[in-house]
Amino acid sequence: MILYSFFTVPAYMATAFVIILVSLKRDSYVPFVAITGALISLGFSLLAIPQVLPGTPVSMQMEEWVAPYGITIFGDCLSITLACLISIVALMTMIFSSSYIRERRAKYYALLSLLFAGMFGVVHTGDVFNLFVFLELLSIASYGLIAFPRNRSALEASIKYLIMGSLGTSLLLMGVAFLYGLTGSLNMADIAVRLSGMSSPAVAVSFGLILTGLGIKAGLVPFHTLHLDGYTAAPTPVSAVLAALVANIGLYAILRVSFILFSMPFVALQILLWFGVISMVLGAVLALRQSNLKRMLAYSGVSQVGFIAVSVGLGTSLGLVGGLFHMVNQALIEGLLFFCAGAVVYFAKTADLDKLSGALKSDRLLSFSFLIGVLALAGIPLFNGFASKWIIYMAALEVNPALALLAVVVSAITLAYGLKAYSVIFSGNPLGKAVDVRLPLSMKIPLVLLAALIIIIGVLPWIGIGVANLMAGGLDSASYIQEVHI
Amino acid sequence: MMEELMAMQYLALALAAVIALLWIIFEASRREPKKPREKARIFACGTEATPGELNVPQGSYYQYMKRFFVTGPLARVHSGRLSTYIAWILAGLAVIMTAMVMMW
Repeated sequence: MILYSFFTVPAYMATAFVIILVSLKRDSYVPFVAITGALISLGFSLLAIPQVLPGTPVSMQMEEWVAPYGITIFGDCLSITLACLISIVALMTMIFSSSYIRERRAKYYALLSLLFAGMFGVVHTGDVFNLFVFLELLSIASYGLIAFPRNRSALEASIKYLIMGSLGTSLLLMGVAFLYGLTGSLNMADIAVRLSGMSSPAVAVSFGLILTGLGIKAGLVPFHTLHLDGYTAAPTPVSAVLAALVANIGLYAILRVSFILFSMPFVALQILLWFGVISMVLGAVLALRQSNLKRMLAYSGVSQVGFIAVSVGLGTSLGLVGGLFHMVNQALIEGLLFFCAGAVVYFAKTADLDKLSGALKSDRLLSFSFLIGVLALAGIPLFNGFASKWIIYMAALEVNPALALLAVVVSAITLAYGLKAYSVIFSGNPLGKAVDVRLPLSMKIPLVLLAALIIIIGVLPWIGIGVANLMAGGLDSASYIQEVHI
Repeated sequence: MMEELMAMQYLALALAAVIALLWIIFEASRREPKKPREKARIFACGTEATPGELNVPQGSYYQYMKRFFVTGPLARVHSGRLSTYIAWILAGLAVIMTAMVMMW
């Protein structure tokens, strides 16, 4: 069976190639090519929904080579939901960037297309080596995108991102090499079958290396330092992609590898739980004291990833559903907040909250969108963040009530720093002459669409819960192995 | 669990409606005749104060957090130094590998 959503990978690669060709003729056509590529990819992702909707996974082999010798492409509710999420955020980013990026557009859009190609590759691969290859593709594209402004802070952040990112992918590759040495295979389903009767300490070492490598991509404390400077220095639409998607891609890879290859051992749950608790608290406390809007949002991303890790680390089915639901919600919320921050930075020319006080003549759409993002991030009812956080609180209450209380306190801290940023930017006393904000249509569309999705999922939470339940089904090792026909 | 979640949603919807009503009443009651220019001026200690002088730096709402004993050291290890950042990662690797070897 042909898995349509996998065509997003060649579609984005072709888009990057066409962008470079088109830019040789006329640079102003580049955003249209990029947006067309994103729309085609969204179409491929949506086409795959009926293929996996009954909860049945779909796999295909490249060039008719049977597993485990050929390359396996895999899709289930988990990967297709993430593919749809990536497609939506990618399209919004392409549209938003068309007015945000005014120079060297071809390089920017080509790198962005390669970044998305890498993400789609990660969610579709059924092979641990290709997981590394696609992660490396998205990492290399992100190094270039962070350095894109070509100023001192962007170059410094990019070099730090490169060094720490390379450390992560090196550890991942070492883990994959260990696995290959142990099992003689790179196919995930085949490795799962061969590892099932093995109790060698080398298995633990390989899992530890892979978990660390992917943990760096996910941005969990103590691996969160990868993202902080990168999110702050990158062009804001790129920060939106990194915060909304890259961390989730890392978490997806952790879950896929842990559940399918290693049947999620107790030690991995404990690591996720405790790293998650530290991420949740540390991210929120440090966000509270930031005076840079983008850095504050970067720390809030660390805190939200912590919520997801805690929920999964609880080891219950309710916790897994809550974590996966929050993964989707967090992507939409972080995307919206970073796009709002992008619009603010675009007009005020600064992300410093001390200088932003009253710097903008309030724009209703921008201020409402930011407020919706803040309220959703803090888990206020009627917004999507509430529905997923409610499930996380309930799951934590079943295991340890103190954890549930801690999660509520962290949500309150989230509201405190979110409202601080909102009040400074949109109702602060002006320090000088305020800039008139006239949002172009290309900035309005992503804000309206993401805010609408946040409210729709918030008001109709059973849709999200249903999808999260189906996503959780994708982490069943037995059905995965059966589908790949090992 | 779904019923509890929906009950919370309806409660929030009712609260939002009440807040919206109160806001409309507040906005309606705020409309008053324009003050003469002389009355609109603000004085502090007998001299006229400019809006800039009356400003509270809102970006510094939670600046007391900087004096809080936990966040000081935490901020020092998030100062942007690459060596400190890599130390965080290596510490994480050490914790994971120790846990793996001891609990596997």
